[in-house]
Amino acid sequence: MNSGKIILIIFTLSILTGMCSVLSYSEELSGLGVMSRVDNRDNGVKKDDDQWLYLSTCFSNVC
Amino acid sequence: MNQFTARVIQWPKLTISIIIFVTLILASQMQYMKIDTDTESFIPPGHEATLNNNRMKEIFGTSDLLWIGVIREAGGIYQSDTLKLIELLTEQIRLIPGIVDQDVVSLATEDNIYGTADGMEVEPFMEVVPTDKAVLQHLKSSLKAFDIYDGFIVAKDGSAAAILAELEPQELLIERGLDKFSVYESVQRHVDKASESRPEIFYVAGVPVAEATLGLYIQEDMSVMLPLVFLVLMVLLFFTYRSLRGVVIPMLVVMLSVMAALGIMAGVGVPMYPTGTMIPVVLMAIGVADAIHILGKYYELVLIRTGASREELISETMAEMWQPVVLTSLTTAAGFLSFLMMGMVPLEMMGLFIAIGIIYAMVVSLTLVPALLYLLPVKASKKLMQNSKESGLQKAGVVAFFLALLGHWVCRHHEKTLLLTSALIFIAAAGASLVYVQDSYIANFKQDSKIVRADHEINKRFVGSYQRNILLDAKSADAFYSPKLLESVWAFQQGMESVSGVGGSISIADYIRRMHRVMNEDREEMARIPDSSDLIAQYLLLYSFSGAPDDFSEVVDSEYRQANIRIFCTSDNFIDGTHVEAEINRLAHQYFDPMGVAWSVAGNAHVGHVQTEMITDNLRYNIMMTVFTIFLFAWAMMRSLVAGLFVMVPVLAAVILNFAIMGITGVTIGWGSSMFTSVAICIGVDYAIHLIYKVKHEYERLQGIREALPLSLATTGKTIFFNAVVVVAGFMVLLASQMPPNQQMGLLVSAAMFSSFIATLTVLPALIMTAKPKFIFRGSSQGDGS
Repeated sequence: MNSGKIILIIFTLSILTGMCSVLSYSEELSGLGVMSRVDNRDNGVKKDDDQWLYLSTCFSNVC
Repeated sequence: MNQFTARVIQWPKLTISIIIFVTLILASQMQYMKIDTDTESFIPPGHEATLNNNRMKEIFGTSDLLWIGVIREAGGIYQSDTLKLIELLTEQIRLIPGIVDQDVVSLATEDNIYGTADGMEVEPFMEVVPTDKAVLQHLKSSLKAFDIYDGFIVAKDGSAAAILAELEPQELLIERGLDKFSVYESVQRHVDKASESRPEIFYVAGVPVAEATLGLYIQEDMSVMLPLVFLVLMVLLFFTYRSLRGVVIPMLVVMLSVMAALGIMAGVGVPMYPTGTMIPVVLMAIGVADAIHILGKYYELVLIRTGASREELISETMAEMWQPVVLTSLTTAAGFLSFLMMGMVPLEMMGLFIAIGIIYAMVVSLTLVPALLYLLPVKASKKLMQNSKESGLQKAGVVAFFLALLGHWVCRHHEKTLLLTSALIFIAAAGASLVYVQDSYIANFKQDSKIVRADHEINKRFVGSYQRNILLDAKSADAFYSPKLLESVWAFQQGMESVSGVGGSISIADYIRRMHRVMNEDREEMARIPDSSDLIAQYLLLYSFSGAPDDFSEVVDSEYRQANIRIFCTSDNFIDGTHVEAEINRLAHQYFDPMGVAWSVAGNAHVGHVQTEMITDNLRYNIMMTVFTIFLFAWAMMRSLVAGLFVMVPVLAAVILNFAIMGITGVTIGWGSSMFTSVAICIGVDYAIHLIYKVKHEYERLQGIREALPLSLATTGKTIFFNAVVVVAGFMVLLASQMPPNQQMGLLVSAAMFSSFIATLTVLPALIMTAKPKFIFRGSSQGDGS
């Protein structure tokens, strides 16, 4: 298999992963306790103190 | 198509006249346009929540409340002058046309229940406004002792009082030549007059106020945003083409398509919903694309075909452009038509009339544009002509020059480009998973607006202006005389009142408890449900001697078979609502199911919650439907499955990236942000279609992909650039909207369009270079053809 094909497979996987992530917006979060993370509920603004920790958790979940 | 274009340029004036005449006839219907901001309009008429709401209105006559908060911080409201003011204002509100006279509730209208030696007395809290301190104190303690009113018509801390009013049903208002806004304006006028040189602060809030204000905002938005988007497009088009025709022709296309779409909408009786304000903006931003691409090709030919006649230039332009124009218009329209499966009328209508407008813009572009070009002399910028002659099309302008350079770079580094993009998308996927749903009706207004301030004040001081109603049906007459059932109702209320976001509740159980207490020397511990149904029946009989017969009509029906528990919530946001709805379900199953009592949920807060839930559920479906519809269209029209997939790639990459930005910046999914994805996909896909057509055309001509790609980027890529600039600027105009969801939508679509443009000019060429698809390299044995 040449490098072009491998790159195409990686690229396809990235798009599929991305779309899965887009389409799973609510289910993913309910399991990660988003409710407790809501600071200003009217605006839907989240606390950002552990934003990067949370981001890394999501990243590892997605991967 | 060549014959069609030949006919058009044979009779250009007739073509122009027909198009303008038809459009003017359609536009004449716009005068009949109606506005609909009803919260229930977002839900299909046959939906359970709508049916429950109708049942509630029919049986209990309960409808959305308009709240007037009278706040007196210093000394509280138990002062004669404030009470007099409340009495006067209550009387004035009752007389306003459009307000249900007998449903106005305040300290001045409500009755207290007393125990007497002979039985029970029902008397107004204030027969006359008290002036004596002791009487004022007695009034305060009487209200405090009556659970229902404490926190409902008087704030628990005594700092505020409320006057509550109900508006007549919409149909009745229209019959009387009124609307929600005119009623709200009358209320506000009386409140403003009453507040003159007074120490009290007044606030007016509630769902009818929000609906009325939203109606006003729609009108104001339309009058501001339409001229603004018009101006922005004109300025951009002028800087793009530096000629009058470059401005007039695309503007004429969008104007005519907007007029036709809105005219048809009004003509068939579809009202303007809050989402409808986006129709002209979206149409202007999209409709301009066809004309831009036709003009782009026309000027390209003017540069390279010096000496060619107008007929030749127009025929060649249309011969090359009709296919991408038709394909992009049909795919974009099909994408918007997929909104029809969302199950929410305002969103469905938005999609339908944008699609109609796009098709109309396509027809105008294929007829009016060539006709106008034929009537005008051939003209192009001298500087561009000179540059083009000396250095070829790739150096015809700074944008073309840089895009050609980009094309060469991508050709050399196509694998690196794809790998970098893959890495970026993987990271974006993590960010996208942070997105969650949160919305509320009040989020339609700016945080510092009068209505949001009023909403916060009223919900801070009273039980809450958002209602959920639990409709109970015990299936047998007199069932609500049963102590056991009333105990369950009371336990349910207690459970609900402990939930965060619930300010209070009212049911028939509250009245029975009050009667039992006053009939037992007003002892606090006797405020409970009596043990015997006969005693309950006796209390109700005693009450009827001095109370009005319809005093309990909002909480129980005349047969005592059906009851209504009114739950007051302090916010209508989705996350709070989810907890409240979950508790309603849990507690209703716990208390009512074992007793065989059927229950259902109604009320404005429930309807709002269901609406957001529908948006959430439908969004996923809508994205998939839009992607699938566009893919099928692209596949069918380009006769290649791979081409269909390639068309989707840049726009999907843009959507993933935008979701990541939403997730990281804390933008939540609501009705505004939910629409951006489909809108962005529908518009962004055009860029890929135009570029693929161009690359295919140039590859067939030049037989070398390394020559075809940079040239395509310099020519069509340049047009895509101008198109993207126009679309981004057009959607940025939504930032001038008074409704935050529209602003959010404008920002998100603009960001998605920008990402889509970048992805089309980098990822798509890299993908073509790496995959060497047959739909471009058909007939080439060497793959990349160079």
